[in-house]
Amino acid sequence: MSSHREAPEISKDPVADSADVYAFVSPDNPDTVTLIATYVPLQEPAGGPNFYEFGDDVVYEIHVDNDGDGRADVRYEFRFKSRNAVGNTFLYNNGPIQSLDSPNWNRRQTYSVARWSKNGYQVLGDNLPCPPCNIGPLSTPNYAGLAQGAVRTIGDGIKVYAGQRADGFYVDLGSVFDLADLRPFQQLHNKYGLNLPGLNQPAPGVNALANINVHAIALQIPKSQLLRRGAKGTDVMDPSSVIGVWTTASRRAATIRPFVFPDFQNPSNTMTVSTGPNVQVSRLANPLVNEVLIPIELKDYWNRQMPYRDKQFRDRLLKPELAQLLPGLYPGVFPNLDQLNKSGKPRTDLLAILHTGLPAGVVEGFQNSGGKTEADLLRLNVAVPPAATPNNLGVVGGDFAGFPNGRRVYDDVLTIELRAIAGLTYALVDKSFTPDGAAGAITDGTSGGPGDLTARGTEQYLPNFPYLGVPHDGYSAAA
Amino acid sequence: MTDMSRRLFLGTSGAAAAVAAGALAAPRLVGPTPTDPDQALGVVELPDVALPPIAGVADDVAVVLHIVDARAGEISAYVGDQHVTFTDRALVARVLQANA
Repeated sequence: MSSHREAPEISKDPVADSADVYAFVSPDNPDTVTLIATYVPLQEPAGGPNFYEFGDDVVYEIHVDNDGDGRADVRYEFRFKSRNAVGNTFLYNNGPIQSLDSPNWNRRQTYSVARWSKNGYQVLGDNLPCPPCNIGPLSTPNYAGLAQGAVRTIGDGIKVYAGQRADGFYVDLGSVFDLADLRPFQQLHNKYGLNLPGLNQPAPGVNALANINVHAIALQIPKSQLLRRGAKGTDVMDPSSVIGVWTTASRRAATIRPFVFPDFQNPSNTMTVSTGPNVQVSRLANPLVNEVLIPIELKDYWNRQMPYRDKQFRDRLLKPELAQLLPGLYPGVFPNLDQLNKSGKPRTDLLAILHTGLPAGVVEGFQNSGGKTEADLLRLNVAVPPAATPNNLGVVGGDFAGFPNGRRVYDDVLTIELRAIAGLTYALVDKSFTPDGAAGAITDGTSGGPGDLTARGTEQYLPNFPYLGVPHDGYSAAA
Repeated sequence: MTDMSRRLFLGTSGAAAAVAAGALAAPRLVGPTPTDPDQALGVVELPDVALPPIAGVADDVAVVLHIVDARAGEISAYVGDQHVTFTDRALVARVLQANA
């Protein structure tokens, strides 16, 4: 997945597990940038009676680097509080929830948003409501309108939303993790000599996240608040037009579960105690980096790192394991990639895309390198306007408004990165290299093509903030 | 964490220095049954000492000590939003003695 359950330890802590990060110039408000980070991945919509929520004991942050040093210049901090408004019931709600102040709604969550910058710490909003989860037509009728009511404008003209959404990432998990047996090309897979006739024909991809929800924190911020001092954000070739974005989740350093039996008269004696500074347990910028490029024994270590220290992981990008595997998984399909692997030449194309940004001169008329520091940042050149006709393959598809120039909710990041790893982008840094034909065709098949902004109808993105689709309700999505 | 816990920590710290001077008897651990919380409250009897004021730390702030390296006496203290590492071999010795 993009970063869902991507490391052994964080996979056991979904509340703090970052799933995706999106950063794009808002198509309906191009003087602003939209930043979205998703958490609590792989939500089965009917998962009651305790439906999903953010962690009250987790600090969620979205960081922005605007001078290319891999360190945050502006960061937005989200803290959540839960409460039971009805009490003395096992129910999430005891009637329809038709408004955010409905007396029928028991389990609620509110949050605060604060900004850290060179100007110090500023609370931008407090006691902001999260919407409920989308339970079903009786509990949450008119969910779309209900959730839209949780979009708030806070200080300095910033819009914010925090709550459940349909997961916007689309991927055929079943095939990707079954030894990369991509359904559209499975007849070409080596199959390890197994006789599996059902896999001898091409098949369309299956979006494993088609009916899955996630929790999103989303901000829409005027560009000027994100750029370095004096930057205008209007010249594509100006490095000061580039910002780098990532998200983190942190928990207190020490947690104690008191070694006493629960005391009904004094239940606070048994409450978990957490103290000490916050320790980062999850981070995410570019999709699939920790998932695919970092070996399993380093994944949780990677999650604890700061981006400016990412040079330590450069060898994982310069010689990616998946690129080494593809010629063996698909015999005869990637001969040029095979030769490239055997040459030992470093994959500086991947280093540029994921660690430094694309410098000027690599793709004519475009760059998104804000500095020389190697850091896994989702780099967005805010001077690139939203595309009139978006291509879900982003820069690879000639659409500079998409991944890896930031990431829009509908970008087909799996296909983009598969193709890049397969060698398609290596030709950008070595003109003598000819990518294999398959490198320009490989996909998991969950998209209907570059113009498909719905993942074959499985995703219903919104045209405006918060852009991720209305979450699937538990009643309708039940298998 | 309760004020008692904080007093226990600080009291233990204060006592540790005294232990180093050989002035106190060994602490006594009540009911050391590891699988039964009702019988293993882990209350160490230590002489009460006055709490010194700690800037910015409220009385109800939780305090957790982590003995990082017992042999070296290295302790990490987590207090509120803060963390400090210090060395106190006498304190470590008393804690281990209490759990012996």
